Amino acid sequence: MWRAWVALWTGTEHPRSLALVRILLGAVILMEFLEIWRLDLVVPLFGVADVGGMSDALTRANTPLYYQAFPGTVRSAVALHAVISVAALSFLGGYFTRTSALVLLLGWAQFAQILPAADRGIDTLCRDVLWIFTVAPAGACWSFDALWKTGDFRGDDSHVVCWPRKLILVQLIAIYFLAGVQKTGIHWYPMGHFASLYFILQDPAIARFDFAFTARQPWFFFTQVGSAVTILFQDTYPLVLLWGYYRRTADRPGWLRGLSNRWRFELLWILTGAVFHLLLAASMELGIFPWAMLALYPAWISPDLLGRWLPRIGG
Amino acid sequence: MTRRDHVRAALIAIALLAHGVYALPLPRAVTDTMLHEDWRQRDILRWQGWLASAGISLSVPQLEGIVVRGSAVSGGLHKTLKRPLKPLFTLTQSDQAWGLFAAATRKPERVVVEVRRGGPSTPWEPVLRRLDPCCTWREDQFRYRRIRGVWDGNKDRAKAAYDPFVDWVARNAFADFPDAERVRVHLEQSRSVYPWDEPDPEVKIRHRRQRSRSSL
Repeated sequence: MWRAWVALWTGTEHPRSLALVRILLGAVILMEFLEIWRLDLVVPLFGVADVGGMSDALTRANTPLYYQAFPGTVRSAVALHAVISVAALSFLGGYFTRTSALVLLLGWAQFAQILPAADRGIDTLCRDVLWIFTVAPAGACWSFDALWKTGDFRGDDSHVVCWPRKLILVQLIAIYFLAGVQKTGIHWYPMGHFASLYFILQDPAIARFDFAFTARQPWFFFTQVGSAVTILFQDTYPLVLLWGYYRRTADRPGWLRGLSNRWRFELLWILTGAVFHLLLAASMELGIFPWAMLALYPAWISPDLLGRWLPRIGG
Repeated sequence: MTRRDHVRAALIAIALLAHGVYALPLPRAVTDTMLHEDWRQRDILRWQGWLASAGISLSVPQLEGIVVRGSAVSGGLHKTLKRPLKPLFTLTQSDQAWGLFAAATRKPERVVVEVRRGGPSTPWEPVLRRLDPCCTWREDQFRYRRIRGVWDGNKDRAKAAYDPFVDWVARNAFADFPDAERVRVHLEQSRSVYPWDEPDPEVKIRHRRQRSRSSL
């Protein structure tokens, strides 16, 4: 069993899938912090109350390290935002990729401690994934690191370890499954008439538009279908591991293995997830949530397949 | 397989175990006070009904006792398991507790900002009311998820950042409405009902705060 575990995390592959996740996630994170600047919210969100911020960092017991080291001034607030933004840009471009990921992770964590109320689940997810990038060779392709090392922005096609991409997939599976099992609200289930999505859309803090019309049929029925599909999709998400295992052991017998391999069952979960996020982006004010989740999806695409899809820039 | 492969696999196992501990969906401790929130009481009654239909007869106080004691054990256990890893997870603000819309609220809230341009007899004028076309002042900022996170929440007490948030709102309002003398911020809490139920017209005003131009 141990040997199988070791084998699972051993091996190499082309770095293009990992690099694509880095680029997309880096772009989403950079856009997020530029949005704070565009909305003129740098000082309100990063600053302490004395200088016009919303944070009580200097008056509560557990003052974040950042404000232990630096004074609670406007300049400190702007500086932390600038460090995070530059690290996000550097991470996106693959410039000192691992170091950029580490600086981004630690700076962002300080921001989360400065104003915990402004930190949402998707911020935590991004930081969880940045952990992986602090040690992953994500700068081996489509990066300034690759340009520096090989003379080509695309890298030299050297293979890198495959475990970081697998860990990102584990994280994706964990978030969907855990989100499913932690849905304890009765309205996700038949006893609550699968009305969760309907009620969420009636929340003016969340809804992008006025969804009062969903009280009428057939719209209410569609929201019920949406709730049911969401809970079914999330609770069963770990099945993608089984479908993936079946594909790797296609030469073995079994009717379910045959069926799964013929119909590519895992695509059903992956595509449902993608559609789910696009619908969320269209209907709710969830900020980067759908886009950051979708940024992780290239981890599902094997580097060889991605190379065939992107022949010109695939290297 | 090389020694390096074994070390890597061992480190990944440790990392996954650490995150697995944080991912355990163990309920947090529920106190007596928390238990008396409306939605928890409704859940208790529902559970009582379901258990009764399965032949298990429990009174509400008995069920409440089980919830308080059971959640204290599970919450305490989770805290103990997380303790060795806490410094690292705190430093990086990492977690694996994904309660994404764990329960849809039936008491949604919208933030409302009003200004008063004259003395006490002058009526309040709403300038921002989320998703109301009448009042869209600085809507881009208010609908931004991080700002929503500061005021949104169904707890009885406002979040620590709520009062500084009101100060920020007031400063901006006084700048944008030079004739405004006072600014008032509150949350309007309504109740969502099933489409086949009678609409509930009651709106509860929560966390109302007021600032005067001279106070800022």
